[in-house]
Amino acid sequence: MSTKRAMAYHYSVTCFIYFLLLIPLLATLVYSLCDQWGATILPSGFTFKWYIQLWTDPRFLTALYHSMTLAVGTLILSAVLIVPCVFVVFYYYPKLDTGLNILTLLPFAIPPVVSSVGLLQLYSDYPLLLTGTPWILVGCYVGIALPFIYRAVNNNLRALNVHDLMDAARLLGASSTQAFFKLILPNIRKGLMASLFLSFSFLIGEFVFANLLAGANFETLQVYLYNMQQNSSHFTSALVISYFSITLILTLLATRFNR
Amino acid sequence: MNNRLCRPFLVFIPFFIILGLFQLAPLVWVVINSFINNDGHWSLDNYQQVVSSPFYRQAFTHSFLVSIFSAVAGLLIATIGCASLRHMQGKIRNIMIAFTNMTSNFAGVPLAFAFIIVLGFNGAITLMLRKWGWINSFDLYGTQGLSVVYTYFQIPLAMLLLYPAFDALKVDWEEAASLLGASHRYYWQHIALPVLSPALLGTFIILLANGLGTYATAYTLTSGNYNLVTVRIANLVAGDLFLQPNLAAAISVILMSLLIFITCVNQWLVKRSYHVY
Amino acid sequence: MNSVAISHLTKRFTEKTVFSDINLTIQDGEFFTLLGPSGCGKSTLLRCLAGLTQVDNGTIQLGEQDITHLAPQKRDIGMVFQSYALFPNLTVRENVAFGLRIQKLDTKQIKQRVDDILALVELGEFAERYPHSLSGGQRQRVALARSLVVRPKMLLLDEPLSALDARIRKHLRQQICAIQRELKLTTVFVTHDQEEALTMSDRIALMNEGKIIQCDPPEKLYIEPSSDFTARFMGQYNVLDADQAQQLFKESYQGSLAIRPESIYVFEDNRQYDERFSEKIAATVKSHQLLGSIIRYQLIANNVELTVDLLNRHAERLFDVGSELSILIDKSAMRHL
Repeated sequence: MSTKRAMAYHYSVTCFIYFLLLIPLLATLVYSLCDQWGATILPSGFTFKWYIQLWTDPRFLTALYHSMTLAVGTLILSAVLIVPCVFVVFYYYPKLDTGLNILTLLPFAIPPVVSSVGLLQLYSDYPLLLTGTPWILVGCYVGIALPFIYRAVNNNLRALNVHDLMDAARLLGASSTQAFFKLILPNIRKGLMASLFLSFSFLIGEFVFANLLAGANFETLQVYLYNMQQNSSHFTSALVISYFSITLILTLLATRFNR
Repeated sequence: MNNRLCRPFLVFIPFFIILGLFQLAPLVWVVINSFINNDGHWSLDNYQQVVSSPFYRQAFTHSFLVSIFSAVAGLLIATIGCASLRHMQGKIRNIMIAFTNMTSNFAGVPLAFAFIIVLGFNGAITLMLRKWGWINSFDLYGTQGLSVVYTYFQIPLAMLLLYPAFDALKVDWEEAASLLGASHRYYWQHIALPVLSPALLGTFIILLANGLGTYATAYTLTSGNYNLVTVRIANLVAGDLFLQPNLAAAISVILMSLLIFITCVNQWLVKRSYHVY
Repeated sequence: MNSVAISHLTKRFTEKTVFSDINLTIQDGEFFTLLGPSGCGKSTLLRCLAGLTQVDNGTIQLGEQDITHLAPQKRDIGMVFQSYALFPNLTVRENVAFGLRIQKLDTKQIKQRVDDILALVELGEFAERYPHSLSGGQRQRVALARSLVVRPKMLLLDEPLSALDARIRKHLRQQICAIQRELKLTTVFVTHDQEEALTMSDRIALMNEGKIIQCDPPEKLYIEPSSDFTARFMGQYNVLDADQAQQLFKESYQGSLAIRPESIYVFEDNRQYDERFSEKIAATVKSHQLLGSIIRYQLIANNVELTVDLLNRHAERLFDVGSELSILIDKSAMRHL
């Protein structure tokens, strides 16, 4: 009947689209696990050697360490800076919300390449010699994390009935600061964590700032990946899959926290 | 009153310092310096140079060509995909959405590598298509290839942005329309698409901006040999040859102005489209 | 003519049978109601009539035509949804004209018919407004106009009033009835509200768990319930089993007994009671509830709890909790089930 035909259509459309999206990933996975795959349609020779080569390369491990510390550091700083601001705007100055909302859209509106033009000129000289150091990346990455954290915290606060909670806490003798730390923060923790994981996967995927502003002086995972392109593509495939597995785990954790 | 309302204001200070230093200051620098020529005087020289150079005009043409193509193609596929995804069972649908979320992170350098493996000169799919005689050659490193790669990363992003909008379509509407004699097609043309149009237009703008701002994917894929706006800007500030940051600033300002212009047209279209519930 | 014949109609979802072997005939021009608690299958039955849900077995005949497997587009059936289902991107006029546009009528004719029907539902001045700027009641009248303007053979109403507040509901109830009678349109109405069903229908089919329990005109359904489900669902019937009946009347009874709360009277000295009435029974007031024109008492008589409705006519009728009184029961209005 017609509904059965319609369902068959919907299933095939969905499967086709997801198959398309999967092809590059699957091919890379197969590539990373085989010995040779040149000029033939099917690969040959199953091996783990590319992964072993990758995970024993000290340069890779340094890059991974750089990416991880950079992302974690940035996220801690972002949370400390952004969460109180979002709360204060929400609770004390709701009129400023539109302004904050526009600020969060800035990183989307200005391509990183464009920001880099100004950043390179502003911070390549004393007294603010920041290019080539991780510190300039930290500053830029706070901007990247801002929209995610802002949205998550704002949505959570909306769902929370903050005004009644704060009033109740104050009637029970808590100061506003105490109420924020003991009451509001634990209640938005879940959403905040989810947004941090999401930002994390974005941050370790960032290439433009990392390449243009820090480059070889502070090699991150993405820059390392780029610099390895002269290497065997089996090796780079193993690198892509390793990188992708890390983001996959983080996305899963993020969805877990979101429940 | 003053004290009570002023103290919370203090939390803004570190936030605005960081945002000012790394978001606003570079933007202001770019805008101001785009109007300063090589001799350090106020002028429109940089803009003149961009507009009169066929090389830079080509960069803009290429960027818009690839971005508009990938935004339209991505939007089309995502719309069809979301319409079908809505009919999946809850569990399958959740897995699909999680997967979309994941692939939306698959961009830039790793994506370029994956495509070289699949669609490069000796890529598995290229070989397959060539064997079946569907294509003679596929140029992954030109307009054709970039359009395919861009479309690939636009699809999951478009689906993530569009999917919530499909919730606004009520099952009742299609049933009511069918009882009034409307075919499935008529319903989509006259009800569903008009209702979705604000979301479709909004998503299109984000995809377009995403395409225009993309640098890593194209840079990795073509080693900077394909002439795009972002590649030009990066080359002028971090290339191997002589650097011209003020010229890069002028190109940046033109790029952002075009984006703002498109966004305004889009807003105007959204306002005209229909009144939301 | 546009009568409906449903025979042996069956619908199953993966595990559950929604209804099975439903047989019904609906007369041409009749206002027919499917009444029942939520989940009884009444809405699914309506959707089967509309063709929005496929049936597993049985046939539906509309007039001379077998429409069991006909697409909804081809059935000539109008339907009004609980959620109104107005198209948000179209004005009131465009919403109403939607079906006529598909029939490709010429513009002048469309305008004429839309204006006429909007006048009928008293919405002429709202023609150029969008649905979001209308109230619930107005939206539902647009939905009604939209399904009437194509002159369907049958009108289906799926709980059209339940999303509205009480006062608008009552007004719209009368309006729907008036229009239905004027157009002599075969109408099937689904509701869970027995008061709505009683006031509006020519005939009511009371459904429970996928079965039709009783199908009768409202008066008969109310006065002569054929089962204890009908008795309980249709009013505040006192349903007594044989033991309770025996305890109350001090006579032996077979089967259960249904007594309407308004057929129990409080004994008054200066009135004559004929042989329809039972003997006087002593009772105590347990609680009372003021419902406007009537007062509903819970009484205990011979250890049996009874619901009694009395007209709120005399001030002295408001008996306090704990007061002792004598009651008489109109035995002719009692139903043996």
